[in-house]
Amino acid sequence: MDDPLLRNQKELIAEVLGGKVEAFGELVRAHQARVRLVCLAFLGNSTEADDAAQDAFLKAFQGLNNFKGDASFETWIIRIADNHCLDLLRTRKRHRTESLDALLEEKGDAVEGFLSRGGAADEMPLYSPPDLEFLGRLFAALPDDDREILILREIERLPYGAIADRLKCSLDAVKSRLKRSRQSLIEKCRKYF
Amino acid sequence: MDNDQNELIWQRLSKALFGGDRTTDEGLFTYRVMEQVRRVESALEDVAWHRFLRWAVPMLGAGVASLILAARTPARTASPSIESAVFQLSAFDEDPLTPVLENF
Repeated sequence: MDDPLLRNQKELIAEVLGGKVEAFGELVRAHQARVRLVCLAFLGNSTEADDAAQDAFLKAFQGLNNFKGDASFETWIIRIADNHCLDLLRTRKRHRTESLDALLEEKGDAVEGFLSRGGAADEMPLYSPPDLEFLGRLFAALPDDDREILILREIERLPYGAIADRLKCSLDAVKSRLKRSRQSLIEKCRKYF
Repeated sequence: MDNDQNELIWQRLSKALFGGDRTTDEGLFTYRVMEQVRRVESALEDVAWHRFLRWAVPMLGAGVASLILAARTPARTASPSIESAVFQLSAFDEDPLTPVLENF
């Protein structure tokens, strides 16, 4: 049986392609948080990330005819956002203004706030603009290697095989690198638990 | 034990930092995107309309011109081969040798 969410996406996309442009708004609303998070993780600044996320949605709208429907719309739009951010980063450097330790020292209460939310297993955190700003600073403060693998696995939710293809390394290398990055973040945040 | 504890911490950390599927300002963000989408859509419609006009107007003009020409064309004259056949017949009739031979 078809996934109802996927079927709904197919219907929405068919409506947009049929000329009902407003249906695209529903797709934007459903996926904006993850797309903004991807852009935030790449660019490290919430204003630039929002601009990039808007551009990604606009590109998706203009290229909706090319959406084959093999993967989910979310996978497709996240890939567009990812490529767009990489293009942006080719023309400028990523923001990296502070160390992770300094940020956590200054914003310890924000980390505690984050961790206290979403206690229930099925309850997902709801990000406010200040949350996104903090997350941008946090992503920007992560070492490049950690950020790269965490974006691919935790935000883009790619399977290990796809990450290995992307990073041109073995599956074992992906797993060990991911374990190291997670451990490093855990150590930095352990005192807030 | 340590691994279990780390796994537990990671699950909470990962969910808090990377797990959000919604934002408090999603309405505003969606509004901004849709504003741009509508602008792009209307620009695309304009482009499509202009592209259509670019070939439709000359085609329409050519069509009208051929209709006018078709209406004005005079009735077809007899084909040159019939004309020559008739001419040859009359020429045969007026063969200068025939009366001479008859009188001979």
